[in-house]
Amino acid sequence: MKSLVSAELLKLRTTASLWVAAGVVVAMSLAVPVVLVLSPSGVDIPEITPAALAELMRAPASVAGGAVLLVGLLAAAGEFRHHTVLTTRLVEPRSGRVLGAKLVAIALVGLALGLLAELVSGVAGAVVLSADGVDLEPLSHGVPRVAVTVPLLVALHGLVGVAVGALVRSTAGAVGATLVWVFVVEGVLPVVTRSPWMVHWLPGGTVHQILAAETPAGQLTPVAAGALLLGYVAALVTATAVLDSRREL
Amino acid sequence: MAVIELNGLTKTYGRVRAVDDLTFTVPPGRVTGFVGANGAGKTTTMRMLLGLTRPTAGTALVDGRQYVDLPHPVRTIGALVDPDVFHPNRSGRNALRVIARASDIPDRRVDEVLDLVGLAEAGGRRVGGFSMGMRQRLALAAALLGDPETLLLDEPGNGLDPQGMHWLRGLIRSMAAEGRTIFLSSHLLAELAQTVDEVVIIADGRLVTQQPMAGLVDSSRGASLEEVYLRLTDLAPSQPEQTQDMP
Repeated sequence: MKSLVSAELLKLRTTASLWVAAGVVVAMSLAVPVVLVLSPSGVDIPEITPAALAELMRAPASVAGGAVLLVGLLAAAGEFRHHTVLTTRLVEPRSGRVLGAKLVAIALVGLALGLLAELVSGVAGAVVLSADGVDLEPLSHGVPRVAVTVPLLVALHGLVGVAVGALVRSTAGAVGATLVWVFVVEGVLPVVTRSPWMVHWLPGGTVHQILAAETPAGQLTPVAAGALLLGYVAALVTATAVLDSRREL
Repeated sequence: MAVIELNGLTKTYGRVRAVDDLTFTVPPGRVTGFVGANGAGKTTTMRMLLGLTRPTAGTALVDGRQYVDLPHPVRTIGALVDPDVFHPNRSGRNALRVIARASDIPDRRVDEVLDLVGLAEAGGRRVGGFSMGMRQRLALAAALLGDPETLLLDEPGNGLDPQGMHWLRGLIRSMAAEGRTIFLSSHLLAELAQTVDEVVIIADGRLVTQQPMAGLVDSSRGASLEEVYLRLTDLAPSQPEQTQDMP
């Protein structure tokens, strides 16, 4: 299994999508603190407090998660697009082991990019806040929790990307299915069904609740939301593994 | 023991029987040609042998095991099933390194096989910029990566120019001289006749005949493999000829 994971990491390193994603993550992690610095005086910005550091470190979570989801999706569905799945299966004919190796590899990449996002946004945020005369309190205001949670969430996004890519087996189809889920199922469905509570129980909603600084009434606690998200990811991965083992190439 | 053994191998797609109760063996240490028209079931048979396609019935074994049960598949049987199995944005060398890494094969073997197939200098270039012949050579390099005792090559001459065909013929002969078992399909019957020791002919997914090349030509009074093939396959749909055990 170690060899397969190593091969999957090499596949990721030798295609452009990983490096483009890394560039986007770094750029977005820098963007929010930089915007804060460049904001002209007089703009309606809330008073900056030491809690802003945690907010700045939360900011890149969505972009980093989305980028790694896309990397995972391209890594899995791209195997079918470019027919590389044939060589992959000649080396390891058991589909479950191949999927497992891909999931481990993308999780490691997700953790690495998530940590990179936290490092960049944390350091840039600290510099900006210090320059603004704000006291830094890196062990307070949920900063340690955010620094640990964001990389884990980014890794989970990668697992979703690989699972969807392996399930759909088409890059265009997998990207389309993901966009439909994000914008139609999570965005429109709660509105048209007049069920706003639904938002909190769908995967995207759980991510926001996991990262939220506080838990308003009627919403899930970060732990409950995390457990629900893990359940969603486990169900998706299991469904992919079962279908993958039954389907032919 | 036969290196490759097919027993009652059958594959149906809906009402179409792509491979129909196919039974034959590929003996060790010999070059066996696999001949049949387009759609005769050659590629489907090879894919079932490699575990890429699931048989509807029957078994396909390599060294007495199904491909999925081989402890080191790439080191046991090297396969060329399609030249377009590499990511176009990855270099040829990296494409092979991925396979090597997954199979615990050292990177130096990648350079050895690139050199063997004449891609040592082009190895650093993107596969997307390779010609069809270069991709075919790269696929052959991938098959040789694990230094396997058995090679399965599906139309290895596709896309090769005359110089490439000459090179391929030499390569197959040198591999055979080392005692490797080679099972290859080809439409180029004149080319095949110069290379193989044994011939398996199929039509409509069914076995027509399996014979040593020399015996096939002798029994046909010196007719070429192409003439023998055309004569036998005309009979094939209604009168399959099982001559595997002929002396």
